[in-house]
Amino acid sequence: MIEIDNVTKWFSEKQVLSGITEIIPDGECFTIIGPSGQGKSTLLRIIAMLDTPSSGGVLIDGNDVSHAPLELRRKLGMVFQQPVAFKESVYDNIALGLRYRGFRKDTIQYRVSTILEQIGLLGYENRKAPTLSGGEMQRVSLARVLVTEPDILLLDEPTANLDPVSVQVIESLISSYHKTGHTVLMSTHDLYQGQRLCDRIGAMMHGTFIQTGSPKDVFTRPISVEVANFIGVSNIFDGMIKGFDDESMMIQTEFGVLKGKKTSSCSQKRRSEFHIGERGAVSVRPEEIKIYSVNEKGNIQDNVFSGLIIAVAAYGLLTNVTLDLDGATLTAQLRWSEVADLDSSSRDHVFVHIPSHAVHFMSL
Amino acid sequence: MSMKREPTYVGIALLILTIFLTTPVMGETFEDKVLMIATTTSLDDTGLLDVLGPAFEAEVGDNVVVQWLSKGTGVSLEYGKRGDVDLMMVHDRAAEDAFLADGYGTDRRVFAYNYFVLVGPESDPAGVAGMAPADAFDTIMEMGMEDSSVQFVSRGDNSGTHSREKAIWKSAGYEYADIQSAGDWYIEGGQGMGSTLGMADEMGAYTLSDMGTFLAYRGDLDLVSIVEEGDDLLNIYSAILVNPENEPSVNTPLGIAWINFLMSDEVQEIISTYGVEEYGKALFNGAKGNEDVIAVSVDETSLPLEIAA
Amino acid sequence: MNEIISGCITAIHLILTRDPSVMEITMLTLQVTLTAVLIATCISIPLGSCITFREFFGKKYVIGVIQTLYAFPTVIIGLFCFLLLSKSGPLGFLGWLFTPHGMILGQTLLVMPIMTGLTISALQAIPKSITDTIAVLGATSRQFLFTHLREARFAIMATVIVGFSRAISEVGAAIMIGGNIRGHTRILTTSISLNTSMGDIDMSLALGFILLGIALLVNIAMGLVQQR
Repeated sequence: MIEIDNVTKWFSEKQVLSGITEIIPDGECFTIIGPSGQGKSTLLRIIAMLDTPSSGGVLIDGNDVSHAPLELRRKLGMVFQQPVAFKESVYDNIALGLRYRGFRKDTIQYRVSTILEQIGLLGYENRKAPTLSGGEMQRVSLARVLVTEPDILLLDEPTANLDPVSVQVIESLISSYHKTGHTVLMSTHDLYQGQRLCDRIGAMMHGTFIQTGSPKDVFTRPISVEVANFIGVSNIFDGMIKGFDDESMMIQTEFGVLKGKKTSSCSQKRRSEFHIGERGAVSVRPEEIKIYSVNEKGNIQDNVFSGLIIAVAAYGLLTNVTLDLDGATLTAQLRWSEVADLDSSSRDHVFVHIPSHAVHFMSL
Repeated sequence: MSMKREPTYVGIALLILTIFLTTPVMGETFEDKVLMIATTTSLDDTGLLDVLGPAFEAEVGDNVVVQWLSKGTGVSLEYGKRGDVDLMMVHDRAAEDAFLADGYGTDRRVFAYNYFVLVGPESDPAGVAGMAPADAFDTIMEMGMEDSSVQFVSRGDNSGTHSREKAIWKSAGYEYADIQSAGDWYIEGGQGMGSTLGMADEMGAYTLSDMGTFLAYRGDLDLVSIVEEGDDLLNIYSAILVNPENEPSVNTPLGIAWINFLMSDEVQEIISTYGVEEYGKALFNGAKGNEDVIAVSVDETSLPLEIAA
Repeated sequence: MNEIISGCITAIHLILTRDPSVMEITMLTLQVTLTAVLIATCISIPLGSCITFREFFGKKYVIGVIQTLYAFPTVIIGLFCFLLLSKSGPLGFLGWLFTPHGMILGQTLLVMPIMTGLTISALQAIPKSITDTIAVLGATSRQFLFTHLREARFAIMATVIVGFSRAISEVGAAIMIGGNIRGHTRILTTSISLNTSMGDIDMSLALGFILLGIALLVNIAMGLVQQR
């Protein structure tokens, strides 16, 4: 278990980590996401004992890392963003950690061959490591760590700038390593990777975890506009809470009153903390927005607005439709077939329905 | 990493092996068997010591080795003061007297003499052939100031030859400092006798040499003897024991043996005939028996040294 | 040009006939220089490693001083050792003046700065990611050091070659400390110096070619070790 206790880190005048506290239990896979230069690597390096915090501490299994004996160090493994190639053969590169630990030759032989197969580089034993491509070398770097079977696997943007095959091999190894009960702590700025591989995500900005939670939590209920922007949530508007009723709250926005479910608010902020008159931001998930032509409006009551289609753009198998609602710009994401349906009638004037579960209120 | 360290170790092992295999060459004899002499370059460059050294070793036997450092009188006396050598063979009476007076040396014996000679290009641009030494120097100085073909190369190294050169300038009426700054015609080489002759030869300049070295090198040079006669040119070689009181590790017994060896009739004979076959003329003269010529007492050339009980 | 060719021919002749005095001089040269380089390596590489991997006050200045010492004139080192080893000096009791032992001391002192400094350069050139990887893999201090040395092995071999080259080609220290005594402290460089001043150009060139030949052989040997 990793306990991070109020860790701060200054580099000269610049504060890189400003008070991080977090517990990562055994066997969890935790991803740190966030923009570059915000401290992700620094935190990992501190846990890996390559740097020391300016204040605060890290405990691993109850042991303070600043006074850690070698055995504790050897429970960790770390893969860096840059592939690391020693001027040796691939075999010797991978075997390095095992040799440090004094393993026997046949054990080393067995483990190295096994992992070579797992990373798809069987037959590469005698190749000189510096001749490998970046992706191949990063696989070797991961293998070098995995053969020592560390309890905790640390990874700092392990697949940044790699070819797709290597990314896939590495992700699959990380995933299976996690599934065999090991703790994994990873940083990435590929949100979807974090979502694929891990149990929990922590969004790090300004040197601290602004939000932690399951991937679903973070993506669907970002705690603040800043997180939302980073995650790529669109459709953010100013909003003010006008009132509550049993299950919903009414939010005044520039294009009208939105009814949002109380429970759809960020679970990290208790509902009782929201009060009438509170200003904040509202986000609307684009994939939930429905567009109806004038004729099809039907019986839907709440959250229906009239709008104009300004633009339509393809987005893979989906289509992004940009709408103008009384001056506010909203992006909806529809399936291709839904857009085609609109073709038959007038496309310009439409009704836009925002289901209340797609509305999310967050603080600024 | 354990693998692939073997070749590096093999390489290192080979090096160490090479060193040990060649150790016999380096095997040094113990100190009491080594006689360390500091000598003037003229005694070494002529090859005289190459004859005397082995002869002494053969006579004394017992793994005794004679080693000499050929640097020049000034440096040799320095070594003597420091106790780094056992004995010095030099040729500068004035400096030797001071050395003895200061207590750095104990006994001195004169074992050989020859003459200095002013040598120069055959063309003799200063026209000083046959002059008295001091007059020749004077003329060279005056002509050198005006005629760029007249040059003088000096040892410039506090050797016995250099001291004599300075003495001649003095008797010609000049302060040495003035000569040094007189002009480009005066060149201070800072080298041994053989090298200085080579330099003078190359430049077509005059220089003062001892007769022995000049004769030995004459075949390779275009220089000729310009001035051979004059009291100023007498060159006396002496051997001085370093004072063991200053440096107890000095090998006095061997030093005494060497000096007595030098004074022995056989060796005096060797000295007096050295070079005749090769150069047509002896490069040195034995001191013993010629005390009148060189104005020293018989004791100085003949009285054997005794090892203190 | 003729002289150079003549020198070459003389060199070959001397080697083929195994001229005893040349053999003696060459053997002594090898002994003195190889011993000095070996000792210097044993001191400089650990010292360089220590300086590289420890943080201490004034580290930059120490490295600066070491690099300044690269340019230390050999005659000054010769003079310094002479004063040390003279009977009237502090180490006179060793009796090393005018002996090969003294010359080994001189050459060792001569090449230590450059070997230490180049070891530091070699180790500092290793990328931080490699150092981090070694640390995180749980290396003991000894493993940490050896892995770094191994990773920088080409540069460190080059360091040894540079040290050897500087030692075998120096004259100033060898003459002052050794005295150029024939058969005892006369090595290739001091011999060349003497022969040149005596006008024996042929022999000087010959000895010079032999010295270069040795340097070439040593380089080839090192190269073979490096390949593996």
